[in-house]
Amino acid sequence: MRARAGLLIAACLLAAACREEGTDYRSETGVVPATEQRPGDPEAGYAALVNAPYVSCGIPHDAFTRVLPETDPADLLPGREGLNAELPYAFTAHENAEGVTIVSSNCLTCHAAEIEGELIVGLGNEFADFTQDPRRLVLQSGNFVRGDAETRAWERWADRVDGIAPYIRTATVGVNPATNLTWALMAHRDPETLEWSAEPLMEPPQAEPLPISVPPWWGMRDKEAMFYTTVGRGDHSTFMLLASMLCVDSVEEFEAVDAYADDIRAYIASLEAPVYPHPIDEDRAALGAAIYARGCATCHGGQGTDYPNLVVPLDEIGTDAAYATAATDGSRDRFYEWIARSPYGDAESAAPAPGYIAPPLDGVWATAPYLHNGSVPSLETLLSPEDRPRYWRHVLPRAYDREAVGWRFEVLDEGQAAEPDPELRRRIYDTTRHGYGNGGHVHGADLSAEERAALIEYLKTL
Amino acid sequence: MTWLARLRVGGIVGVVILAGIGSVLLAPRGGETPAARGADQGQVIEALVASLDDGPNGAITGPWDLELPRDYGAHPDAPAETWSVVAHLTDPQGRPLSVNLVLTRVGRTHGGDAEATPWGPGPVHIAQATINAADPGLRASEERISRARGAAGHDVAAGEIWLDDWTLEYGTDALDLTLRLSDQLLRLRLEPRKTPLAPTGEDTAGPRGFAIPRLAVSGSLETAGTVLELGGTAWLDRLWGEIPLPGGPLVRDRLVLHLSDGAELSLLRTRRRDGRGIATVDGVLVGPDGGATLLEDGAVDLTSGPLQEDSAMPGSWRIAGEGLDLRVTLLGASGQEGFALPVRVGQLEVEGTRQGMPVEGAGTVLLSGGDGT
Ligand code: HEC
Ligand code: HEC
Repeated sequence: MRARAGLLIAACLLAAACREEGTDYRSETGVVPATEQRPGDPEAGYAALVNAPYVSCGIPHDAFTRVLPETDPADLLPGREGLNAELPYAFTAHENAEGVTIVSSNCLTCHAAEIEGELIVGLGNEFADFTQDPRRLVLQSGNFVRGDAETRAWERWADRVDGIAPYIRTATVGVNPATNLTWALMAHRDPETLEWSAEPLMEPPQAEPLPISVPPWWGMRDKEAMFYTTVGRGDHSTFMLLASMLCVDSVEEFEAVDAYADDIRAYIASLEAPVYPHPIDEDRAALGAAIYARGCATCHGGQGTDYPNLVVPLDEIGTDAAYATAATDGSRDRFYEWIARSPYGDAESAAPAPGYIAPPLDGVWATAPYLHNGSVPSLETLLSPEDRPRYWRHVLPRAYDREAVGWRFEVLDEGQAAEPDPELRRRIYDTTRHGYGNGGHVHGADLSAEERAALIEYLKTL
Repeated sequence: MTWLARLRVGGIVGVVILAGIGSVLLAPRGGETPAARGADQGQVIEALVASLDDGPNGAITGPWDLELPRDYGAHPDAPAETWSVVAHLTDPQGRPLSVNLVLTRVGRTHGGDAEATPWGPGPVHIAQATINAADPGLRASEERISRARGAAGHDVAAGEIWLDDWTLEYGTDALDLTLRLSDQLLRLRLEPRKTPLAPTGEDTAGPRGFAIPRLAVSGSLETAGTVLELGGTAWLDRLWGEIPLPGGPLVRDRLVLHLSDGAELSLLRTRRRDGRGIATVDGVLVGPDGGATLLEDGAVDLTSGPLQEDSAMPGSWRIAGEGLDLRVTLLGASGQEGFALPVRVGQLEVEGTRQGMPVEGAGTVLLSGGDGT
């Protein structure tokens, strides 16, 4: 990192045209250059991921057990120690300085999910519900908190949730507000000391988060930058800790977590996509392989081509532009600068490009709904753009569709505005909403039905 | 943060549970209480918490369907339970008088208790009773705490719950409440007039219980040889299981209103004791036919007027939403800061409209911890 900063300064001297910060927090579209990453131990990384208290605040354990008295055995993960061995995978317990056992949400809240009966660490959770006001739910959990030490622990957590709550309510169940959540936390923290401030220290992000579909972790095996807009450049391990900063209130606490961040990164980059669990028609898939090589591999890699790490400009890919535009129109620069001033990164860490990276397609059978905003429910509809539903909702309980490859869905006649019942409204994916659009990425549109089916069969093999 | 969604207590259960907890268990620890019985308070709460230290296995599980009169009676398997009655009465001159009783048991009777010392680990019973009326001579409030065996308990065969000489007897058709408060003897007969609100057949580990939103009340209050006949309506809450304990981070304001058109409203405003964060208002609105509407946060607006110095609670409230437009006025309040578990109870008068038609009514506000503003 430091070496690269040096290079940048040299480049600045040559160009003699750098801004004072030495960066404009932007990258070009096109190929993402390779970056050296801190080496780490994947096994130690997994252990840390499922046991370490990188999110250090949460609900006192006594209260937690009254709220969630039983753990579904399907939610247990191997390799967990102590109390964690009994907790659902998305929670980690630790004892705080006052001796109170705290249960916190961990990375797997968003980065693990069940598909076809299997819990897969690294698969994005596409069914999380961020449409509710979390403050209300936090208050309800307070019903079971007792004693002064527990109360203090709960209050610390409740304060943080109060700070971010106005910025993380999505319009639809399933899409994720993580990016806005991170900006909101930054707004409440001094970048140098990491001290929390009840009042924002800079302008918080816009209230309504843009919807994001959680990418699978195994893509990081090949990706040189993190996130759809490749905003996560430089050292990935420290940058990804931004996702755990809810309660990291000092540089020492940051350093304690950063001590094993390289291992977590190494674990994430070591993950492989899950194998499609059902029979595949090999002949058909072979036909599809040829189609893929012709029309898809240049951007997505595979079939003898290395993964190219290609960011496709917005006007070329044509998918909903809101997310990449917001990342690059200057409206987020104060957050990039925060990162540059903080221990989470340096002047080059946050540098999005005005486009979307074509993701590796390994395990794409499992990652529906598709595109960065999760607006397209299946591969079939992704590859025949005119069939993409304008208004849709998941069939519940969720059902995997082997034909279309994705989640079963119902097409609706009307969008959210026409639905008076809030319970039903928040189930509707309304692609006419800002940031929720399902256009663009028309690759595959000119394929015959047969060719499309063959291509889909091939995609199952990745 | 999705797991938080699981905290949502669904349906009617939620409101019955939250509202049904009544005031006692939710009173905060320490802080605002004057020194009068401060020492007691700490001890009582510690005893409560200690008697409940059954860990997470305290929850009761298995299918359950409400069965009356059985479920009026005690559920000794549950780690804690409450009975709570709010009665809105008038005397023959039409003067309002309100009664509030909350009886709580915390902690189970451990095995082999016959030989155990009276002060050994065992259940703690706490009861708080309040009478509010315009005539200061009629007002009373008292708290009783019993850890001694025999002084409080239940008798299934007789259909009776008691603490000293305070008793609640239950049968198929009615409940009889008898309270002796200083020099007053209050006897009330409560006859259910609406179907209980309760979950059915659910096998959940959460607390269980039910509420009866309207009971017809008749009875009398005897003071120094004079007998005042009373009549009116009451709301009953029953709750047992893993229920919230004292000493937490929340304060609650609860309003229970009986409206003249036959409807009832129970609202619970919850917020943080430290004053930060948001307040939520949940509730249940019961129509004259007994049909209940769950009011999720946001369904109804509850705003309180400025704090009244003498009563230490707001002098008025405004309720709007769900077809309601109600102005609620405080008639009087009894402070119970001296109680081990402090709560303030106010007597309310209601007027306004429901579904556009004029209504009036009587109500009670219970403040556990906060000042209600
Ligand atoms: C609240 C949900 C949430 C939590 C919790 C969360 N993430 Fe993420 N994560 C996301 C979302 C959404 C994205 C995609 C954001 C984007 O691309 O702009 C993402 C992206 C990532 C990526 C980049 C993947 C890629 O292909 O670009 C990594 C690595 C990552 N997260 C690591 C973590 C780690 C480590 C933690 C725990 C410390 C964590 N995340 C916690 C939601 C979450
Ligand atoms: C010009 C480059 C390019 C070509 C050619 C291309 N894609 Fe893509 N693809 C992208 C980009 C960029 C994205 C991300 C767009 C977004 O999320 O908004 C994407 C996203 C996807 C996704 C969604 C992945 C997910 O998990 O959300 C799938 C599936 C996909 N492409 C399949 C294909 C297939 C199959 C072909 C060939 C028919 C193809 N693509 C051709 C650039 C390309």
